[in-house]
Amino acid sequence: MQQAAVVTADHARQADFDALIGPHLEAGYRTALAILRDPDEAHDAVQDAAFKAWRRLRQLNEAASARAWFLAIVANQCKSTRRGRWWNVVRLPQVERTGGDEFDSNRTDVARALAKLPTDDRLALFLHFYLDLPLDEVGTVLGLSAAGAKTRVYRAAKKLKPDMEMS
Amino acid sequence: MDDLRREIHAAFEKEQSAYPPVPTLRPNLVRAAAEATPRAQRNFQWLAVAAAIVLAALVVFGLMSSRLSNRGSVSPPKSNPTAGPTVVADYGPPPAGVPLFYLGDPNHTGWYIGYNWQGVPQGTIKLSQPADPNSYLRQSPDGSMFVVTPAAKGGNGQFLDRLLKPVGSASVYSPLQMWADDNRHYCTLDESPGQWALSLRTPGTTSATTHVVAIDSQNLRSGIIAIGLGSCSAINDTAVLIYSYFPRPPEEWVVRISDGKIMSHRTYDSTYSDLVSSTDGRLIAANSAKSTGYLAGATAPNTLVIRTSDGSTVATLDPTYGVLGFSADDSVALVATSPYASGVATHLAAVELATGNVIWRYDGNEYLSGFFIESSGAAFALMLQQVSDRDPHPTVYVAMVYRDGTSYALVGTFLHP
Repeated sequence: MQQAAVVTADHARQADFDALIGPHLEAGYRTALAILRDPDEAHDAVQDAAFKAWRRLRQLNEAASARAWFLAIVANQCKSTRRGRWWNVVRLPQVERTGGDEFDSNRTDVARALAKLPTDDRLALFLHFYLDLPLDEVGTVLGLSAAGAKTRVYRAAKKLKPDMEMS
Repeated sequence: MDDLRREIHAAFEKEQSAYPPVPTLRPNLVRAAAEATPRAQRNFQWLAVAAAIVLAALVVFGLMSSRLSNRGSVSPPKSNPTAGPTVVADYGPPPAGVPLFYLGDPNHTGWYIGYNWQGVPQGTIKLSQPADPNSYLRQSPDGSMFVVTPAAKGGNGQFLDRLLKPVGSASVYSPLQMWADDNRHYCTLDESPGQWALSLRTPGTTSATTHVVAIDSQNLRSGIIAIGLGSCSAINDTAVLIYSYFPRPPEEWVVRISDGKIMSHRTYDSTYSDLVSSTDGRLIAANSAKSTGYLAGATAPNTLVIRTSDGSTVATLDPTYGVLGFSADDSVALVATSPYASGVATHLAAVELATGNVIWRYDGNEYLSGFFIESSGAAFALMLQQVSDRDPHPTVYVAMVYRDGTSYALVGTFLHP
């Protein structure tokens, strides 16, 4: 009887986890991929982040912040993962390579510039421009205020296009 | 701004579309998280303290379990009588011309202690300003040059000499780069549309020897790109380029650095998960997919070590062994005997390639944080960390492993540099 109660509680918790975090797992994977640029490492990182989120689920009080809360865990996991395997050689994360048939020089320039951005700058742009997170959620993920997140996004964008005018 | 937004979105979309999430990502991860977590989640601080003490003891015990399994006997650990206590002092400038490996000083931010391959501290080097926590000090094979990788907050990285003085001011950033075995150069692999350029560069300068490598691969044409540098041997004028994106078939190209000519190209079947080449580019390991714990499909019956010059098999290893690296003299392979994955303990072995014998084994509870290869010899220095330590520069214990299977731990703990 006691065993049955435990199993029921586990199922309920799993359902809660699925409802709160489940919708954000894909965004978590995509965020990890944007940071690590290695699909295998991204899978590992988002899985590790899911484990941590499960253990800390009670710390999440507001469902509205679940996305930023989980993506912050993913981002921190990725920063740990970036250390990666450490060899006696320089070994940096692999970068996505364009391999398609079409070639758009403007987009390629932006892609190259993005690939060379520092991780936090790249993450800020990814969260805001790709996942369309509002600046307050970008700030939550990066550990900044909304104003700080706006500054980070602006500065990162300026690195891509120094002549850009910010409205 | 809207144009830039669209361009950024498009650039990320191109990256993302190459590696879409698997359709079952959500149910798989939810189930995995539920199954992997113990039901009871009690938070006793005293338990954490006790666990830390026990873990420290386990590291010592784990190292004590080093075995000369080919003899069927337990190799008693030896202490290192000449090693000093934990990082208590400034050891002064390191000697020139002595191969060293460097570990972070846990008591002084930005300090690194150089150890020789007998496990004796030889010197202390200091960054003028502590590096960003998310950047790393990467030493050349013998510890005579360094590069600080680009920091999260910006910058292009910096090459440093053996005393951590900046070398030149040329930007060093390349997504794919690797120290050369001569300690004076490094290789980069860069892509311009449709072409791959292999360069041998001099740190801190714009000097480079660059050649296009005529890579023609169905994998690369497919848009799924996972190519990297496996080896950069200026001494042998050889670089090894590796494509590993499991479960696609891994590929290897052996390239002459001086003219970019492909000397050999091999494609392995998809029962192999990844390839690891030796520092000199003469050996390559094709790790069976079984070494990753892969259960969903066919796996190669063995992990193979192959000579790149003629494709001959040098060693046939258990398929659960995943080669992590080779000793500089190509006599010993360091292997993971359990799937090497983030967040779980790494079980390790050193395998003598000539006989296939396991000369050293580690079955402790720590995670392999990284390792150094003795630049001329057959020793390894392994950094082992607690699985739970998620710091970018975790606390590590260091185990020295030698060609004859003997091993010992350096006294004290350090920071992953």
